[in-house]
Amino acid sequence: MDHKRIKLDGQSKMSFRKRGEVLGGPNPRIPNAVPGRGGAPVTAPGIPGRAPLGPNVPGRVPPPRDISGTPLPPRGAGINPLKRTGMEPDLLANQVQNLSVEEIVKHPGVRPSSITSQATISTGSADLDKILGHQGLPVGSSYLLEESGTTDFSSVLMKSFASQGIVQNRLDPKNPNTHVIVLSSNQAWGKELPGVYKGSSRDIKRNRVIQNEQKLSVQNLLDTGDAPKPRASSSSNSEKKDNDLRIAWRYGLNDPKKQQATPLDNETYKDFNHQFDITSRLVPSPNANEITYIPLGTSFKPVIKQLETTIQRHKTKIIRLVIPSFLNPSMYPPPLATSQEALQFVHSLRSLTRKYSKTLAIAMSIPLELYPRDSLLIKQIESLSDAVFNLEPFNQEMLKFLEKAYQNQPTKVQHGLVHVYKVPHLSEKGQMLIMKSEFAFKNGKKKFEIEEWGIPVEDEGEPQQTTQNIDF
Amino acid sequence: MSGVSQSSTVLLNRLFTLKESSPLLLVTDTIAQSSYYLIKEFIHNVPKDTNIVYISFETIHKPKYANVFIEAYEMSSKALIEQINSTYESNVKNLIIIDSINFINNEILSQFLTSIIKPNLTVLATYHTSLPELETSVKYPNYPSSYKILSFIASSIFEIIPNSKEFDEEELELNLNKLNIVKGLNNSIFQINLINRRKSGRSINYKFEINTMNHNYNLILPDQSLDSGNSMDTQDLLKGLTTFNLTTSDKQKLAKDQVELPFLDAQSFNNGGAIVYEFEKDDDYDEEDPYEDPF
Amino acid sequence: MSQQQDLNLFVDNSIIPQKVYRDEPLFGVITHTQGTSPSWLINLLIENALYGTCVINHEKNQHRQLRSNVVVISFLNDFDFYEKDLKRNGIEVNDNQQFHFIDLFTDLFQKINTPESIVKIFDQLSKTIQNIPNKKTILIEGIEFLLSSTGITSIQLLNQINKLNKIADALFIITGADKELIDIQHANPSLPEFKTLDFIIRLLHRSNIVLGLRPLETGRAKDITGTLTISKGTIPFDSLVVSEKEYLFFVSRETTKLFFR
Repeated sequence: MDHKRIKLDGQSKMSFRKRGEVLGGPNPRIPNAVPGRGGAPVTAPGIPGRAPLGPNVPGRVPPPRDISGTPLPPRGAGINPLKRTGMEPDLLANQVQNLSVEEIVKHPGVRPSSITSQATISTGSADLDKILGHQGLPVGSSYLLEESGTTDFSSVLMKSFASQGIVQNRLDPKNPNTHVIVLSSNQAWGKELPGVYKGSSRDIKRNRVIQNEQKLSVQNLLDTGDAPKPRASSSSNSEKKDNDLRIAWRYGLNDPKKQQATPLDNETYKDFNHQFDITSRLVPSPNANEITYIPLGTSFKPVIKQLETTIQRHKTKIIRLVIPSFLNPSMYPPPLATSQEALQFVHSLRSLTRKYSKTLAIAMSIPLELYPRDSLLIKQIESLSDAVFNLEPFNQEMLKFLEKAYQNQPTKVQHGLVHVYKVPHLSEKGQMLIMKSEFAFKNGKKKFEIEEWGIPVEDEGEPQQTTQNIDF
Repeated sequence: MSGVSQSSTVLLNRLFTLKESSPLLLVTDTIAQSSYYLIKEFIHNVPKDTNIVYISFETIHKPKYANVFIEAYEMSSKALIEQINSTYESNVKNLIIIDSINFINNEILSQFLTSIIKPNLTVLATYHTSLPELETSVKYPNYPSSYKILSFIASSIFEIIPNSKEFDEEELELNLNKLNIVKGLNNSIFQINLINRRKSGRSINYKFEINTMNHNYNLILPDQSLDSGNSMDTQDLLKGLTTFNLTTSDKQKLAKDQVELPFLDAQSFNNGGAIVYEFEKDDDYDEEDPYEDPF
Repeated sequence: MSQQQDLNLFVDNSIIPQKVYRDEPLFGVITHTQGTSPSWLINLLIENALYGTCVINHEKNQHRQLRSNVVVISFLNDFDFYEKDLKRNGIEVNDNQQFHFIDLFTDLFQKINTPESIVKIFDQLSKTIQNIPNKKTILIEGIEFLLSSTGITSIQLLNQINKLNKIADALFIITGADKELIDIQHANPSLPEFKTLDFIIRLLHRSNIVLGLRPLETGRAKDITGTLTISKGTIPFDSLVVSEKEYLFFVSRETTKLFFR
């Protein structure tokens, strides 16, 4: 035996791997082909160069699964059955075949990260996707949303994250592509997911006309299948692009070539993200094939087991795991909030994201009012998360001030600050991306917006006074 | 003054050479300046035939000077005591170096020391004061902390201080609290604060600068410039020593400061014209006359 | 901006001096806080331990010669995390017989739970590493996490490190030192903050060299990531001399640069 393969005897088997030996059998990794996972130099402008996907691709070549959703045996399983040593839970991973390259590429909700070309999904908020730096959340990673105070803005984002998955899952009824897991005993959680924003009432009317026109000819339908899709109003496009650029600058990404790729990407990845209307509901509500609830008990041990079996049951899909209001006492009994229980659990989540790095993405929110940020518990949870954001809602005085400042433009009033503490991949590779008070959020009917923060300047007052002072 | 300097250095040398009978020498150190160089200075000075036993809780590699090296970190205290006692040589001086006595549990500390202390034997124990310590034992709430026990029974205490000339004390402490280890710490030149307890019951206190490169020890005299400040502290000094209350509370101090004394008022010339009157030579002025007040 | 500098830790301009592998073993502590993740530095240390070179230094093209085995033990990351970056630094770990990765991250808590199980893992580990022939450099990342996530005490954990320390020529412990991890509100020895502070101070009390990574006090800057402070540990080497200094460093996706402050 090769001296380098270090085997440890005894009950506790350690995955002492060497030389990139991967748990998934002989060759589960296809070198250089999977975005971001091969060894291709990261600076290569690989993103725009990738073969653009035709809008109709999903569904044309169904992945190896039958219609009922029961997954067929993974391709690799037959080759290396010896790896199934049965009892040990950590060896379950050996039986799992992650999504193959083609499958990942075919997923309409997946696009390569604009920085690392890792496969990336939308959080359900286009603006949050932007401050994630990758234009989305890389699959195989987690984001932690902390909320200060007693407001509940984070539930909007947690629900949009789930909705986004359900909407994509329904794009092609024959080919379900996403599964949502919610860590909650509340089975009604999914009934409150927001629906896709249909546009203003004028837009809705116009869309109906277009749709009717299209129904006239089948040819029409095939050619412009993507036309009636609601978009962010195009009038603000240039302004938005400016903002994109500025946000990109914050991450040190001022490569103009990359920015120019954006409009093209919007066509290629048209179903990457949607805009959600928090006043509407997703109809029909997600069913048991689309969403799995994992209830909480007095220990996280069974939760991790259930999570892993659920992930494996849907192994050809993107898995969106949502953990709303982590450790909130109304759902989590006291033993779960001890450092040992909670941190072992979050560590296990991190381990799952790496183990199922081609399918699993996690969104977790936590109320800082109950678990303050200046504690070891939160710091450790942050260090185990790939992205960390903190929503800090404004107090009443600040809101009044903003309302006064934006007297004529009430939609401009922000609701609080967004602090960025970690960004996937970049932070753990050593970049310093702590951005306090650089962004503000506002939660509107049709979307959760995040923009650069600046205190509004009132027209009258101080500037004039200074000139007078000069005279004096 | 030179007399003080001389006698203090003599004392230090007697301690280094183990000529003072001292069962326990306590060295307190921090991450800013560890006891390493001070221990080396002992090794440099002790008689050649000293039986040096090194008790290691955090030293992996046996120091060259140690006659016996005991890896104590996974040993029961009973086994450790037995092993230490087995190394004892009654005909020479014994020096037992404990690299960190913080590793010995507070509840057994006193018993541990009494079971290893013998005639002709000195325990030289380092206590890391940077480590967090409990105010009181969890199990036995009244029981004193390890630091208190050690400083109570030690015959001499060497408190190790980084060479203060190099650092702003406050800034250094701020950095160390954040575990920022700045450069220039843990030097071969440093200071010690020596507390020596005499048999008479008197305790004397000296501060030295120790240069371990050339083995020079210089007494540092109390800073004269601080003396003016010291007078302010007489209040603290007298605290509890009299039956009178000589102290003023902060509130009282504030009230006292706020009282406007009349002469302050007189110094401000805000109230319009003042009568300025100077006596002249020819003025007829009778001190005895109560009606002669010119104002 | 001042001139770009080489990384060196000792006055002889070396990073890990050759003497470490002869008769002056090294115990190093690397501390970091949020915003200054140490992975780039770990990668440079891996390279230097393996070959004696450093890819960000001027002489990066000098002939590489294998000198030490490197064992990386991580509680926070898997093999993939290191593989790609090392490859970018020109180290094909898959072809390298002297690079060993021990994944104590994946499914960690299915393997360990109690202090006893941690002790067992380390016993196995030290046996295994001992069997690796020749010189050994061990880097351990994220071990402090065990203090807050299990019932192990800081002294028990240090005793496990001792097992590896004995068989290593160079040992680096890489630990988070954010203020929240070491801020003690109540002096209760079972609190993770107490354990973590106790652990790190005791590590420092056996260190020969300390490397500290911190963001700038003033916050984020466009062209500076933070400071890297090189300082002596509490225990000096016999003859080797640490080159104490403070670098400013900048990590971007393409490069890592060092400057003098």
